[in-house]
Amino acid sequence: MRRIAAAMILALPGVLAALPAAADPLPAVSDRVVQYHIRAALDTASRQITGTETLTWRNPSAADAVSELQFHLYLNAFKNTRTTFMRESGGRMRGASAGADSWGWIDVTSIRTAAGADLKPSLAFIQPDDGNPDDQTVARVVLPEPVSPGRSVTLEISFTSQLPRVFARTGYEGDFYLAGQWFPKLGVYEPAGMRGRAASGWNCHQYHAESEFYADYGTFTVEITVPSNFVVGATGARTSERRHANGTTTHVFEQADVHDFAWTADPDYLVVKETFSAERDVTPAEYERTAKLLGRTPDEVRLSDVEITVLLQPDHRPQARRHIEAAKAGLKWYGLWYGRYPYKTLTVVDPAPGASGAGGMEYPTFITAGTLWLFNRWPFDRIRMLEEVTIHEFGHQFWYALVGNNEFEEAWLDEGLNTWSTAKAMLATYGRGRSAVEFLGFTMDDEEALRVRNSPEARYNRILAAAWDYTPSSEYGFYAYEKPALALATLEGYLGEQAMARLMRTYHERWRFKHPRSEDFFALVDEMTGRDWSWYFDQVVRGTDAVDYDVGSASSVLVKRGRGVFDGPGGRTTVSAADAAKADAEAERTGKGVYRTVVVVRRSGGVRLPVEVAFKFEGKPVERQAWDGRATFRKFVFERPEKLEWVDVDPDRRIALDANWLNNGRRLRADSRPAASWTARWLFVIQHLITAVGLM
Amino acid sequence: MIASVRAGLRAAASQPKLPLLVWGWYALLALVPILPVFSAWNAVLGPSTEAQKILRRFDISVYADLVQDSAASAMGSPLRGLIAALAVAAISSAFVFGGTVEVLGRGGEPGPFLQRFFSGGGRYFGRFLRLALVAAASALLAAGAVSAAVAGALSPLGGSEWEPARYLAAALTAAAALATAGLFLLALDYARIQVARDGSRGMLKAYLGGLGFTLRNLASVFGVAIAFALMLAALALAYLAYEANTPAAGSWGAIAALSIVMQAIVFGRVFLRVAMVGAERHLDLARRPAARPAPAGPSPGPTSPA
Repeated sequence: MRRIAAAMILALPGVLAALPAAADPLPAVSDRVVQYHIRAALDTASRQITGTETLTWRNPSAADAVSELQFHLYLNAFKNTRTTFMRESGGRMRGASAGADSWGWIDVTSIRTAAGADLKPSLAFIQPDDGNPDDQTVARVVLPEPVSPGRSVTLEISFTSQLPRVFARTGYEGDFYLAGQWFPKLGVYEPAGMRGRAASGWNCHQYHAESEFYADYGTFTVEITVPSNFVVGATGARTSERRHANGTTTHVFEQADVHDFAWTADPDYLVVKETFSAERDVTPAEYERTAKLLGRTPDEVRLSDVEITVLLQPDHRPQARRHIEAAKAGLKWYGLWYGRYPYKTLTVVDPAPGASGAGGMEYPTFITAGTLWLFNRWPFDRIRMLEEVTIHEFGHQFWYALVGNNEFEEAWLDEGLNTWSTAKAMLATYGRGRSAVEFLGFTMDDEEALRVRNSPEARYNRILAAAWDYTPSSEYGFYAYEKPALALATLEGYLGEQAMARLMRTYHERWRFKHPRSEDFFALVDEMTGRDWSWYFDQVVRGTDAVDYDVGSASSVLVKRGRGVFDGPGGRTTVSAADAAKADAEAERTGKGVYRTVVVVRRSGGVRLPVEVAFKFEGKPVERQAWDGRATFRKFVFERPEKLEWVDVDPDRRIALDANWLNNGRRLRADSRPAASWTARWLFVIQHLITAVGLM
Repeated sequence: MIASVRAGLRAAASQPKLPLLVWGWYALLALVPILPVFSAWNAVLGPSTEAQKILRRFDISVYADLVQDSAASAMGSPLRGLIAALAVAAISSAFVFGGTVEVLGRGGEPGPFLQRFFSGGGRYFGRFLRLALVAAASALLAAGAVSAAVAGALSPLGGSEWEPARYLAAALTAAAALATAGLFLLALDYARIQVARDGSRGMLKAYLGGLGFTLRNLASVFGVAIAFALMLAALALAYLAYEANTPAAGSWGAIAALSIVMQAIVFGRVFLRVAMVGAERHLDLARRPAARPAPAGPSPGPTSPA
């Protein structure tokens, strides 16, 4: 770790604001490593999807001939209780439980090359993460001949997918279907050097309970055949529809430059459509402000129109507007801040009652939200859960879909960046202090909510870890979502709003349609600031410790008059005890004299961050001093005619990671009003409890 | 029924010291667990600059910091204090009810108010406590059985694709359990009123008598209870309206105003309960005019024979 000058870091916002914005134009298309053409039919009686898949894969390497392919067969996670997913989750996820005897699986019934070579005999399940022989979520096949660099191979695959009753993202509930991770999907072939790899190879992880996904960009053409009374929504744009004599309809969806494909079907969906208009839904002032913030021209931040489709449960009809507005807020703020949403469509799915496990999930151009009938009307409609989920899942279009980090290995890069972005978008849309909840006088915003789970005890895991390695696994939420968001907020505190906005914009532009890793983000911070930030990321992202600065003690007392014999320029004087006592009493009475102020500021957490300390003396403006925050404490001593009123570490609360802000500041004259205000409320609650029992 | 409600309200209004005393007693009990809370919170919030935020509005992150703060989280004893206060409140409810029926029953008679209250409390304490135990056990068992039966009967609704049906099923189950518990607790009220009127000693018989009266006069008994429940709901709504439309209590004046409003609400709740007892007493007198009156005069002791 490099020792840094605290004052230099604390002065960064001013320096960075003057930096020119890096101009990285948005890439128009991805590398399109894969091409999928899938024909799938849903059998609602057996809950099975039978499909054929024509898959073309281009070897992206410049040097390697590749002789095998690796696939995700993720529905096998639900095959039995011994899979890695089921062992890790215990059959429960986010409040939903696996249905009894409702298993899911996927069988590859045939796999051949376009030339007709049968690869099925070579198909073998592998377990690269944990060696669990009961896990069949990853398979490999050996090709008859290696694929040379830059050349392609085309496979014809037939498969049958048995959907489970939905409890973890995918499956059915009644007539509701959400098909995610439902087809044989290739892993990512990473040539040496890509994402820091020493040797080339496939990156194809097993399906874990606390993990999401990683795949390569390409084009998808998917034909979905379902009973004609079903409403279908999917990744991409619907390009055609064919009705058949047997009462089924084939819906064709196409989308380029995405790395996954999901779809839903339900006869009960209420379809709500609206266009996000780049002209009407964003004001000229918002374009101008964003352009100025990012150092771009208004044309560079101009957005494009998007067709929003909300597939709503009929019981949630009164919440249609809220879904649309939240989707528009996402399109606007993420688009302005990070770059135009490049797709023409966005589909928002409201899962059926009993299928909450399918809610709150992201797929390219297709997200699932989730709400309750209870939230249809006042006052529950002011609990903005649906808005938050919609904006968050939409935000994954930027942090997951467009910037495709490996969610298994570095979940914070999408969940953390997106949680931080969600909070900002919520605040921008619904207002500071009330963005999350405005319920019968109780208000809360998303930034406040982010801090709730942070504590000095949160110091046993690190942000940068494989998603299934957080221990206990319930810590995944804090370390992949909230703590990274707090780390980014803290980084913004150091860099300032403008520099942070430019950093995030550049990161997005540079890595759009690519697979970055954490080091790429760190390197960009160094590049854009011209400084080495390893001291920060080593502690906060790679390290485990907590951040907590506090005021250990603060005193400000009148200096007593000296007693005894003193030599001075005017000769020798003797101050008697009586004279000194008299002078001290006078000083006490008038409050005039010299105050000795001693403040001890401590670093109680293990993380060492530079901080500012603010001092407010009576009748004087606030003074600030920088502290590098490396020692366990620092003592500040002043002797001056003014008494200290208060002292505050990190007075602007730039360090959002600080686990406890209550101990950051100390007032020398305590104020009982905060405690009285809250105690009055608690007294009220307790009185009601006691009265309820006592008046029985 | 309306006459009884009016009579109850008049009775409570004519004895303002009675709700005041009951409110004061339970406020005192509530202070037992809350004073250590205030002390612990004030130690953390008082000197904190961050705590000034909550003078503007409730901030959940400050609350989270407070809860995890080592000084403020040492609140085990206030929790024990709350449990102790609830236990004392439960036991003393028998005394309070005895004092209440005595004051309401002999409101027009001469003698100091406190003497009448404590005399009634002492006279009926043992009997009312036993009655309360019988009623609580009965209410618990009956409510449990009814809610299980209703939940079972409504289980198809719980799995319905029509989402409101799930809420409806839960609400109906809760309502059935509450109505059953309410029935058994209202029976407790009438049993106590009848014990005070008749001077009965056998508590099981007295409780069955109360239950019988309640069942025979179901509409009136529930009518009275619902009327007071509605008044209580109006009080709660008035409070919520105040909370929703008043800025956070930031100044001492605003904190004092909030405290006064809250205490007025608690007092209102106590007043309504006293009035309800008055109304129930009026209903009992109206429906059982020939009941044997209890012996007048001071009690020789809660366990002495009549």
